[in-house]
Amino acid sequence: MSLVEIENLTISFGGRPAVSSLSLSIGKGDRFGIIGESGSGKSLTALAITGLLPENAEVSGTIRFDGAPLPEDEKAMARLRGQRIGMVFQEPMTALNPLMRVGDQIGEALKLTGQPGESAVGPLLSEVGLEAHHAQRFPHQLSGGQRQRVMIAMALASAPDLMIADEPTSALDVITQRMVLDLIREICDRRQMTLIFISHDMRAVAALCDRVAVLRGGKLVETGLVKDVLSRPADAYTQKLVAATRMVPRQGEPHAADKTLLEVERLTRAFPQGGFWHWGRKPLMAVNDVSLSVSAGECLALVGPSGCGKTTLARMIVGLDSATSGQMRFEGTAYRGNDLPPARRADLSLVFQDPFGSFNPRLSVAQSLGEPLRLIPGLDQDEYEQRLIDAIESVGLERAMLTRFPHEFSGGQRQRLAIARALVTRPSLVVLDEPVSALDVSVRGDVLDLLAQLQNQFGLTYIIISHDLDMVAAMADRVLVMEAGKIVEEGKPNALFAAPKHRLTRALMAARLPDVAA
Amino acid sequence: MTWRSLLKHPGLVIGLSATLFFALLALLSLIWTPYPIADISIARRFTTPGPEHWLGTDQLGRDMLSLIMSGTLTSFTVGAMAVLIGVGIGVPLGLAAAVYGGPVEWVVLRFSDLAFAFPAVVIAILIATLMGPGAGNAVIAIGIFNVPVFAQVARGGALAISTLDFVAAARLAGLSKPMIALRHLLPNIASLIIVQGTIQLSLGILAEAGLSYIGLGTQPPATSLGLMLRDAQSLFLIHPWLSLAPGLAIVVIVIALNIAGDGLRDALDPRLRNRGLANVAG
Repeated sequence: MSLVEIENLTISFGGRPAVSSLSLSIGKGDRFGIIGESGSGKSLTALAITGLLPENAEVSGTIRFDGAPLPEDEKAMARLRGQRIGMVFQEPMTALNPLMRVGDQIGEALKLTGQPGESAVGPLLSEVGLEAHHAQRFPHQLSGGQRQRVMIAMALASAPDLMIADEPTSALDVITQRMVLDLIREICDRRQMTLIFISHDMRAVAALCDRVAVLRGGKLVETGLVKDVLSRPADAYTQKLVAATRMVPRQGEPHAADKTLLEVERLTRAFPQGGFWHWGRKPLMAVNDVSLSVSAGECLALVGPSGCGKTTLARMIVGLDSATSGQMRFEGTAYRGNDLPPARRADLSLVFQDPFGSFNPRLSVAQSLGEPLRLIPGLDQDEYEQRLIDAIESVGLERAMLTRFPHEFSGGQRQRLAIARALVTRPSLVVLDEPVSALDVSVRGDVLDLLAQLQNQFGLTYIIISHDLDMVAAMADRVLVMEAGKIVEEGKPNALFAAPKHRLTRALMAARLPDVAA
Repeated sequence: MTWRSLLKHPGLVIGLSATLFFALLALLSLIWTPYPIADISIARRFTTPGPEHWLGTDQLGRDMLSLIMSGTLTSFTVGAMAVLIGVGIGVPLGLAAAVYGGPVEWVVLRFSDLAFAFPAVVIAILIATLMGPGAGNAVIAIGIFNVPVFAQVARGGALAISTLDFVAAARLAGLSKPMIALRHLLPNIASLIIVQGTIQLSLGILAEAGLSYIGLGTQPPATSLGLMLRDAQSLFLIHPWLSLAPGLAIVVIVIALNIAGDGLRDALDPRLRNRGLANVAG
């Protein structure tokens, strides 16, 4: 007996189909995963089940919920949503009202289903692993994982038959992600609830779901039991996705490491906290007395949970922020951050995490790529253009693309452009801040291959910031683990991950999701 | 941004065409009006609207249509000059506040608090006392009132943009702060400023009418819509049309500008474009 039956669902916007003739059947008690990359129509499908599609969407096909077609009437649909479907969104900070205590928000969800509010809040909180006093907190006083737990509690308020979770863990770090996934699985088991879990992450789906559908460009590629689809994928696209989740640990010799390129000496960055009454409160030590050194040609990885100070450290190294105390020495030039002399800036560059925010939408690619070249005085017009062409061709794009604008490129292409911009001054040290975490799984491998190839070709030194241990194992010569502004463990990736000593490293290892085929 | 996508916003089309109609009428008055506006003839005063005088004549026998055309020109000119003053001074101030922060930002914000504390009328009375009433001084008074508005809009927009990575990339590329403001921030807040510009233009036209009404704006023999209202107010009970015609003109222009501003906001703001699709992750 299936709870949700989708038949020939087509959703289009202005004549362009975003989902086309999709048929799915989701059984009662299933934990159903929908996998797809950006633009695959997976979120739209979920919105169609809840009747929450944007008004300009043109929909055809039928969706049956528990045997009956979805009601046309908006009021009846709202009642169905309120009483039988619970939804968990990707970004818990924006899905919660920042001005309401979380207990009141859960109470409101309870009241909508006709239950007495206050008394039921406590049991719901304890079901999602929070304590009673958390009800008095505001969303900003909770951590990301706790906020997502509150969202789950709200979705559970109506004791729904179906819970839809749309990328519930992709805004969370690895350790929290694992905890939230385990929590969702536990609740589904206990309540015999049906789950639709939407994700781009094969491993999360493999860890949580028992059935799966793979979507691509609005079409169903493959569906079936998780263990069948992911261990013996029939379709070439699924095979590619599965292959992309498996990172091969780096083989071969570590890169040459005799000459020191960058030295960080007892670097500290403190942020004053609080507003008017800020005396008496301790400043937040984002980076706390960190010393490290990077050899020429090396690939160093900084790993740690969100908020551990790894991005602040990177921003100081490239000169976007200044240290409170301590200093850095780059090939003999001492600096504290912002005071890095312009002549040296050309030797250091940064690749940003988000390929969509890192290009000015009003400038052409050539204008954006050429910007760092002003750090190199005395380039004539020919050399300038040659640099641009070399940069864009070295990342596997064509020179004709220089005249285009950023919105014409996909996420993976933009990240290639960002790498091209970082290389245009021919730097010796490149800092990569989560270089692939905003990209679709299938292009991550390509971008990492490109980075490895460029490193060999130009003898680059990399500092990679990440929380993805598999990616780090595939790229790095040496790993530093950071927690609360301090470096807590250091080692070669294989040795470190085989025998982690520090509590945090062990927690990171434990939170790693199992390989999909296993 | 293409013309076709502009046409998808009916408010924008209606507002812009009404505004354009009045603007053209005003421009036409530069080269031609049905009668010269200084042409006083007591013999034909208080004519009702007819084929000779489409909108009738006033208490001095001047043709109302000619007066309204000429008055609209004054209103638009004063409003537009005031917007130019506001944009010219306010936007650089706002950008400077956003880019430099610290003491610069403090000074800009305190200045705008100060300017907000005095409405345009109070500033106009001050200027009229110092320099005498006139359209030029009305421009200055309304312009001063516009400066903090544009400074705030530019600062807010620039602060939102400057958290994006491409601004950090520009800093890494060694661009100076004024260069970042000019190259990266200004083009990305231009739509915000255009929208605010249409709203301030309508407010400026209202303010000019108000100032002329209390005698601090345009002085005869030149005319403006506010001045026409002032001239007609003592006759309102006997000849209500003399007040209604310029009054309606002001109302229609202001509403048209506001509708156009709303439409422009929808058409230019990428966050509202494709409403709905933007909220969907995959």
